[in-house]
Amino acid sequence: MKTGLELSRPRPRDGRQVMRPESLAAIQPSALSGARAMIAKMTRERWDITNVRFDVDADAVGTVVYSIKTPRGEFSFIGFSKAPSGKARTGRIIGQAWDMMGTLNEGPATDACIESARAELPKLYTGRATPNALIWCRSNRSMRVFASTMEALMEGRQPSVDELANVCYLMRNTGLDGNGTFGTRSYPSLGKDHPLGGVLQAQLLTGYMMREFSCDLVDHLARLRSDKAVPLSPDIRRYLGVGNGSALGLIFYVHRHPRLLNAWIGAREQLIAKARGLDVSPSDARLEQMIALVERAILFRKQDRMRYEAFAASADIAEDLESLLSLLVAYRDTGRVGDDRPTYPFDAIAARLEGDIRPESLETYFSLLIELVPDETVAEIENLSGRDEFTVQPAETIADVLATIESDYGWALEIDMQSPDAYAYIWYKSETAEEPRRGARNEAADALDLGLDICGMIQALKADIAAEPRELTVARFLMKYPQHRYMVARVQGLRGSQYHTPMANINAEDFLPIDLVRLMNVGFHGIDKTKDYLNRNLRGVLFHGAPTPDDLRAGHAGTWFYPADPRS
Amino acid sequence: MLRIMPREMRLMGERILSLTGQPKGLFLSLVDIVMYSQKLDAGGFALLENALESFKAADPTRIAIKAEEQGAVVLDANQEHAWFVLPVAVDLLGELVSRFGRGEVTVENSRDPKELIIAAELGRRSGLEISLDRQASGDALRLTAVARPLTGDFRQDEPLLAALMDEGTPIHDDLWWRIYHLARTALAPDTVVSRRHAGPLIVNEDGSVIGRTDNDDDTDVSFLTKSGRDSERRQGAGA
Repeated sequence: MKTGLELSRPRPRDGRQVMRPESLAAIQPSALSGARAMIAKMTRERWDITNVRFDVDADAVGTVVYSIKTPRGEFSFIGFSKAPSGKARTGRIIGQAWDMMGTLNEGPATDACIESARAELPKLYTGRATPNALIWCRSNRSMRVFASTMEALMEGRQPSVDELANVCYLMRNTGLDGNGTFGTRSYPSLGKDHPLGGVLQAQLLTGYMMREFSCDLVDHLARLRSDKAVPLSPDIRRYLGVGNGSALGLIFYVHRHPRLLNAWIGAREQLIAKARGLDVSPSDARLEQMIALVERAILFRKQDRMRYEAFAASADIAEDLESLLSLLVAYRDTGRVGDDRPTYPFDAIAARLEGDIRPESLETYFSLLIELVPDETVAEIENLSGRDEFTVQPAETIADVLATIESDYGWALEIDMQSPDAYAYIWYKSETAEEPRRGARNEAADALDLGLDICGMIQALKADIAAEPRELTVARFLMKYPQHRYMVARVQGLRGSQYHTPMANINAEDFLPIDLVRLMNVGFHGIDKTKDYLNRNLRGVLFHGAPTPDDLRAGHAGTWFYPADPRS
Repeated sequence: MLRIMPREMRLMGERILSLTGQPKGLFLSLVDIVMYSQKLDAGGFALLENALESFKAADPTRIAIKAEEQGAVVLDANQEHAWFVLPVAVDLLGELVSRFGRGEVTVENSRDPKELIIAAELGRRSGLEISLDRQASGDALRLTAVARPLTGDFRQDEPLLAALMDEGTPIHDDLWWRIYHLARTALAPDTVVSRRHAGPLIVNEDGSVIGRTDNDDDTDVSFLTKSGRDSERRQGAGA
């Protein structure tokens, strides 16, 4: 029998609360986010990243090669730099002007690999990677910030932090393709013991290398153009992340990887519950750590110059975090949260704040709490996985499937799919560079709908089950209704998990794609300062504040995220 | 020969199958069948290319149980293609194994019946050991199955999928690029209007812009308002 204490211990939140799009959109970066997990691993294992070739002329044209040595193998990053061109330049997939194209390969860069990449990368979808390639990538400069940074360095001074802080990067990722695309290696073949075998690790290492390249390029060009040039200071190098633009393609990703989504959100909820259930006395060092983290987050938000459209302003988040800080400090000073002496003070503080502060602020608190359970976090990260394949369980009766639909998909059954707005929008891809698009159905009349209509498919499945005897097996049901095969397999395959599918009709007029784009970019990838556009696009900064290769080599420890302005 | 990996095979397979007009819930179950067929050196993508037109008229509800007794079923495929029969047959085998410890499904009147060899690999994903008996009468093929408990390690459970993930599969250049271009026809033409359905800003016909322009793109706005045909031509040249 459980004791009262065990019964009151905080538990992971219910999926019906967490999986609403607006809740998912509020999730903030944490130690579980890809970028932070990747830096933690690189630091822990002291990865050794060195530039071994930088043949780039004063016009920025040339070839660069980096070596990345890990305890379990070496990788190489090969980049081809171009002079920037304003023609056909856009941050969208359909753009045709890139300032750098590159490849992340397994093993040291050979001349053959370099020459193959030089020939094949520009072909994009009709190019073929070498068998040791993991990622093909491309990036563009932030023209204004890159130019002003270079000018400052040429004049022998560091760039203006005020100017840098408007963007926080020199170059922006405009495409990462891997996992079999263009013939790159399949990620499931890497396995957990591979240095990049974890979720998103190959992509994130490539993003980090783009940041390094951007800083090395600006240093290099300044040096070539001026005798007075100075290199970027380490503080500014850390402050400058790599830009990132993302949009509608992430909705396809969310729907195609429900097990991975469930594993990641489930792990996050477990860790939050564990941290909320810590028994911390007022003198506990973890309380001081938490206070310091919240203070850091407040300063970060106060110094944020970005402009957001649909999301809360950083000034408002900072104000909320001040309320949080005062509760933490009061507990430290009095042992009380309000009038109570709680067993689980972090949980009690969360309960007091819930409903009073903005969802992003509360999620910031939860993300920071995860810092207090580092060992559990590493264990969760190492176990993150989720197969994409679904299989029908044919011997089950359709009564079992119906019971699962009724218990797990109440939200989908409640949506009025007969409403004129239910299918107002269509998801498709343009044949030009396969750009994902979402448009009013009457404006894309001939497009094939590539989205996954979970609500419509679930409702149709339930209606057909209702017309059949409950004892019918799934095998026999699918003979008669083969159109339900995918959804039946998915319902069966996801049974027992509660964080797999955002509760939304993605075709509806009122669905905001930005909510799920933000979940992936901010929560999953760990991108900061994500500016939103037209409820569908995000621009943000990856590896904002991350250690430099020198720091990694030295095993740099400590908090790097939420960096303060370098001059502060 | 090109080395093609599962991601691309799945992507192209799905797009091409979407051209059949069959329901998504059905054709998504065929994507891995095409990939396995290619890896097993059966019909593969060449067969997909050739049979595509006939798939538009496919009606797997015509596949019927002709006879059944204690753990053994005779399926009349009614001239439906073996790829559409495979999921049905594997499901029935799974159900029979669950009920009787062993299952037997004889498939009659399917098109391209040699493709039924894929059942053995599909069955592994369902925890079945399926063997194919070519001795059945006429064109019929008999599939028998017993349980093969899953270990949770896909390398052990599905060695063919593991091999695909590790090595991909070789495909003739000509065939692959035909498949690639066929799959592209499932995507929408690029038009000035459709370009407004993505991106951080919208460029109107008169050149005015909807949305903030602090996206740091240094966007060539004229590029977004050029006709799709111009854009496609450049894309083709780039390719």
